[in-house]
Amino acid sequence: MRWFRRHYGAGPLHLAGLLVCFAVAAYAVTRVFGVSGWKGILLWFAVCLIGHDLIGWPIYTAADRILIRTQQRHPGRRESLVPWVNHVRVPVIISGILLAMFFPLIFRLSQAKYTGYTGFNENVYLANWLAVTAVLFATSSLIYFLRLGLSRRRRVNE
Amino acid sequence: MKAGREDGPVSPNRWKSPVRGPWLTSMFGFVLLIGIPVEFITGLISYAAYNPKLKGNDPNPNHGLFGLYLFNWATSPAWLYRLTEGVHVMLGLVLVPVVLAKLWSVMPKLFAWPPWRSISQLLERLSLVLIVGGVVFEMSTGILNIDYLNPIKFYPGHFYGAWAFMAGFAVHVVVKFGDMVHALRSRRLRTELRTGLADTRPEPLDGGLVAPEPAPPTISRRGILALVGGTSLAVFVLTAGETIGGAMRNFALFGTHYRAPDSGANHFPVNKTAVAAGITAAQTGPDWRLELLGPRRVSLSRADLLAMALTTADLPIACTEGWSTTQRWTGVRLADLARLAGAVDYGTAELRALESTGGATLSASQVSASDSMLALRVNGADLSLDHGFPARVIVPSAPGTHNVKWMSQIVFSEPG
Repeated sequence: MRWFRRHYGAGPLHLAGLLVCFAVAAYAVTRVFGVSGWKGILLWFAVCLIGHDLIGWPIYTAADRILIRTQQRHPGRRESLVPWVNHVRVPVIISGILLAMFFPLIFRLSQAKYTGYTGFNENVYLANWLAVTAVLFATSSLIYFLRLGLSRRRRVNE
Repeated sequence: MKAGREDGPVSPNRWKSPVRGPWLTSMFGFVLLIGIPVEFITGLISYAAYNPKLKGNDPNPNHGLFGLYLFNWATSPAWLYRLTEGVHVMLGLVLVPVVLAKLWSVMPKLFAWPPWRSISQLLERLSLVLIVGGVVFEMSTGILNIDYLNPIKFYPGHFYGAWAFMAGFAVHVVVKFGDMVHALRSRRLRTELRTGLADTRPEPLDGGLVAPEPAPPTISRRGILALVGGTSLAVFVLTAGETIGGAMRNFALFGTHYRAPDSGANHFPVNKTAVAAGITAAQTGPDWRLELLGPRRVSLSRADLLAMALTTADLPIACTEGWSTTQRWTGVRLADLARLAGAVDYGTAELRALESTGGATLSASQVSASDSMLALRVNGADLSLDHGFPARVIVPSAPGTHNVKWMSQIVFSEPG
């Protein structure tokens, strides 16, 4: 047992669990082979694997770095006060995730099928998304200016 | 800043977030530990609800061992499929921000160097392929399907993908459960919720997630939790009305079925219009007949059907895509039609529609359920063409596609 641990790095149950896991996954792949569009399914899985880590994450991280740097350069009219960075982040993130989830509707990429399945067209979703985004930004800036007002009043009182 | 060779391609010092750490990761992990099994179980239920063993019902005919669990789908309570599928789709959407937050929180581990220190670690990292690829695969196939954009075949992709994902998920939970409990106990949630930006400090160094040289914080831990929870709440409000219904439906601005055509009795969402199904006026005119094939062959006009004993029930249409709506249907019991066709005991019933691709097979228990009917009227008025005129089937708790519209034939089989 000690030999096993030294060479494997964990107990035998660890190995057994992982082998079962890979067996189930491999069996799932054999099932996919029986589907007429199996290449597309496996390719889509590969795209998903790198899609977040090597495409999505680098882009949003870079965007956030730029945002933070901008905030550091323009911290507000006077130091202190209220940092604004999260008042941009929150509406951008919520609106961005909605866009990522519903872009086929927003950009009318599934118009024909949508119309057949609902009796309506997709033209409304771009307006819905813009309206939701506008409400998010408006609410966020409203809260920002309220916080700014409160912190100014606090300063005057001090 | 140059990465040393021992540090690998990304030096640990490049990670700057002062809030990344095992506690925060475990908070997201804990939510997913509850949410993902619910997704898996409701997903398996959804497949079982198709009664795949019956003729023509199976979207995944080569399911093999993954079909071992299948059971005869229930007909009561009538809202069961509406609930399980509503939960599956809406919870799945609501978990998207949590999954993204979890992935963000563990990014330093992806670039950990050296990539493995032992065979066990190598295998463990390989199993992460199933989790990271799997969760994004499941989310993207599910979401694109409800958005009506299908780059790949949805049913087999989403179903077999779920098994591969869950294999990785189960191992990950077993391996990391202890770490999660330990990390969750390392800080008190109540204290974190009272800690603002000014008092936010990094978690103690753990040699993995916590940045050795963190930047000053720009958001507190409670801020991140609020951001993730708020995004989930926004997704919920903007979609869940599709299944909750009532006034909530008006807020489902990103749902596909928050609008309804027609007015009056037929004013509720449609799944597939008559035009899209290729139904013509001539097919549904006075010459339309419903044919019953059993020991006897019977042909019935709409007037014949309306002259039979009618039953009325409030039943939902619940679509696999998650939206649903409950209406008051009036029609002839399927059990009565079976007897009319000479069936002595209830077997399966194969439903055939004017639409060439429409149809499904109902189980014996679905045929004999007292509220299962061939609906002729809804909310006191005749069905509209888009809702299946001259007659459609409504079965309690069946998936929407089994409530076949524009019926033309029912083939009743003997049990056995």
